[in-house]
Amino acid sequence: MLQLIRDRAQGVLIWTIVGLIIITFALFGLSSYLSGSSTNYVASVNSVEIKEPEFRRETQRIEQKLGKEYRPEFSRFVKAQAIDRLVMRELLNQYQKDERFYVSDSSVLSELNKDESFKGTDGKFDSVRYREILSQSGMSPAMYEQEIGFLLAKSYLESGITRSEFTTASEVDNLRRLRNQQRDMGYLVINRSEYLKTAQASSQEVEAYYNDHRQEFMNPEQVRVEYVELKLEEMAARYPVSEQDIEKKYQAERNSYVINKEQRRAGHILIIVDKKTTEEAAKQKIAGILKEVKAGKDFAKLAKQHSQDPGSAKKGGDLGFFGRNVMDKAFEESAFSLKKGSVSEPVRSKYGYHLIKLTDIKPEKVKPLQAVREQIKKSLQIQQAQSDFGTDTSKLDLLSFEKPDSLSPVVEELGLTIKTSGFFTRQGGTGIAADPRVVQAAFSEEVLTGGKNSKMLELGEHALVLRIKEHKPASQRSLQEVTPLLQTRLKTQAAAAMVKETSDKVLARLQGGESPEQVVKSIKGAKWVKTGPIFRSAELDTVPLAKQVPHEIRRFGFTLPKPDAGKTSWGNTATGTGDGVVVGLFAVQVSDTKADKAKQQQEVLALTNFQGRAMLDHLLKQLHKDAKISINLPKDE
Amino acid sequence: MDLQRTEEETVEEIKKWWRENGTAVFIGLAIGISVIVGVRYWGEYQQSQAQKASEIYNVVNEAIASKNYDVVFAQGQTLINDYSRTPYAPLAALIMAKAKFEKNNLTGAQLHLGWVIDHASDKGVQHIARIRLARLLLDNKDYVGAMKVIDGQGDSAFKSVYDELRGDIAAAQGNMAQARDAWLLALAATDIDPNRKQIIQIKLDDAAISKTASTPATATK
Repeated sequence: MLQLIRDRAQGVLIWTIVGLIIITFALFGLSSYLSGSSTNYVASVNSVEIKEPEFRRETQRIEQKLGKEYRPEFSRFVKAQAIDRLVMRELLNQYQKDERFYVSDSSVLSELNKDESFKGTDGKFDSVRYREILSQSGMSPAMYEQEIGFLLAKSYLESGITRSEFTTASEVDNLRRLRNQQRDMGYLVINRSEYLKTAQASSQEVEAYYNDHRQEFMNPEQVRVEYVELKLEEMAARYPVSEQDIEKKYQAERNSYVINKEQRRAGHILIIVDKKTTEEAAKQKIAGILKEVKAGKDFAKLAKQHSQDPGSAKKGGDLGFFGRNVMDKAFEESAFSLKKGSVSEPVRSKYGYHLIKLTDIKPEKVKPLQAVREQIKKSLQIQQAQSDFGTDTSKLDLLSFEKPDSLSPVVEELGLTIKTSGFFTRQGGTGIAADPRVVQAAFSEEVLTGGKNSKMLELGEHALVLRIKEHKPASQRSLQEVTPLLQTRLKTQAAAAMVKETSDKVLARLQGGESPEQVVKSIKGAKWVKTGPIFRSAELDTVPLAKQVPHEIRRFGFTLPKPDAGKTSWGNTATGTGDGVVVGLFAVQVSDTKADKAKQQQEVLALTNFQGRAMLDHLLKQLHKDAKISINLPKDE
Repeated sequence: MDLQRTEEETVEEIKKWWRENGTAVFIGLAIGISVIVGVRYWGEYQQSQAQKASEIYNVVNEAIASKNYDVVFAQGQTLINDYSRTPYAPLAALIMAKAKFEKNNLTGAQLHLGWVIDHASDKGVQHIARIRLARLLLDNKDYVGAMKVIDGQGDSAFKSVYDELRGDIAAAQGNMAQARDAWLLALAATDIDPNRKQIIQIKLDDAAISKTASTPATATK
């Protein structure tokens, strides 16, 4: 005891340590000690880690949102998006803390009060319901309220930035002037096809090109495989099935072959039992009517006269066709036990007393055995084959693995035949090579270079083992083989060069002052087209001819320098299809008519929204830029 | 140390140590505790200030949506006067600038934006205020002033916006070569929105500069 006291008293150091511990607890609480990093993190944002479970929840959320659209190939994008979202969220979270974007409890409360799903039957916030709904998604009220606070603060920031945006008068005017600008142009097209006709590629040129680009002209690596397979369906076909078995199964599953259930048509006379009419009175009344029926009076007439079911009474009591489970149970029992044309004894339903007359029967319609015979037979065969298929595939799996240098052992043991595929590349092929799993197995190290049997591939109810039959490594294609291809390519290049040369010459002549009408005559197949004033966007053009100016030419014309008055500004370019285009710009004009007020307001609103969103976007990017972020995505399984 | 000490001696030693250092320990503890309490209290005070500010801000925010300018100015001024250290004051000032702009009070709008540049603790919000102030000055044909506001604003997530604005100012001054260079820089940014890109491209296309007749004007692409 004293030893302990002495030790303590000796160290001012110890006091300091104790003091430090107290301060840390006071400032940060216990939680900073308890939240160890036990799980892997997928990203860290300023040393705050985003853990894997959180990441998985987010990817699942995105996948659920995609729903039916989701495909496994999207996995990479989904993951990237999930990371982006979580990082952005964490950034915002830290931003809110650093900037002290606190929101008040009362505003959180008023958000909760607005939420329809938390309202009770009286239309007011129901705290029991609130807790129930939260606990379903595994959240505590504190967690949920924190989330609401986060979203609220986020919306404060967003609306503050976007609602304070404006658009100045000069900005709208400038943009409108650009949009309403019209340019008066002319153009001529130099068709590449004209030059293709005369373009030449000598054999020396082809050879030189071939030698310079040898690696471009390779035959891809190819293989042909031999394989044995087990198909459940094929095996099943060998099993005998007796007629009796088919018949038995048909009977057992008869319900699933029913096309239409039995329907009956009936008329009725109803005497209601209620406060006004006692049980006894109704019973007597219906008995009286029954007597009249038995005496040979017309049922329909009696129904019109007596029935208290106004809908059917008008139609002589007729209810039309109905199946089971539609009518009152007692009524149904009676209707479905009557013979056609007969009238029932009084029936007590929950409404009162009925007399029922059965007028017609549509019998049940069932697919005949003949129509489903093959289907039933097949399923019986498959049932029987299933266990043998299981044994055989495990034998195939084991044998092909134990004796990996040949397929003969499995062939002998299982009585299979060896089949051979056509050639296919790593990109796949036809037949079994259409399945990427087959291609992957064929080009695997073990099979391709090791010469072994592949592992047994399970392709649904189809098992397959393959080995390489023939392997063609990638090879150089011969000059002879690729000459036609190269000739076309070189001719196209030559034509393009001629087009360019002509285009440049034409441009120089036009810039030198020659008239386009004159110049165009010297070019094969070229035409000089004047557009008249056209807008930057064809949508604004009203003149049909102006609308037809090709997009590429229009766009190019709007990049030309503006000409001095009375002069023409010339330029040339090539289109995506390889034609040459020479464009002359004669004049630029702006229809400076002010847009009407409503339209202008619309423009301002659109610009302002756009600008405001952009500012917010850049603000978030700034957060991203200033943060220390490291991504540590889990490797794909 | 003397290993033969008796218990009495040890107790005596502790008492002596305590006489000499006791006061210091007490003072130390007292300071420590009051610092802890102070920090906590300060944190809570700031939180409650920010919470109050958020409610006033919400009023400003709703008021600008319904163009209720009197409320915007009155409540906004409260935030600037009494809650200037909360993030809500600069946001309210941005909104007040917009309200002044809509009431054609350009000087007022500029003053509010200037306040945000000086007082917002977030750099992003400062950038936004700076860009808006420059745009106002540009609209007012104060090109030198506008250029001065955005001068030296290079490396930030707002770079492409600054570049575009520099181009706009140069173009308004009739300095097309300089404008083109700035717009080209803006277009080179990777993070640029396609709509904005299109607008800059149109401005750029329209500012094409005529080349001498000896070099044919071939399109770059």
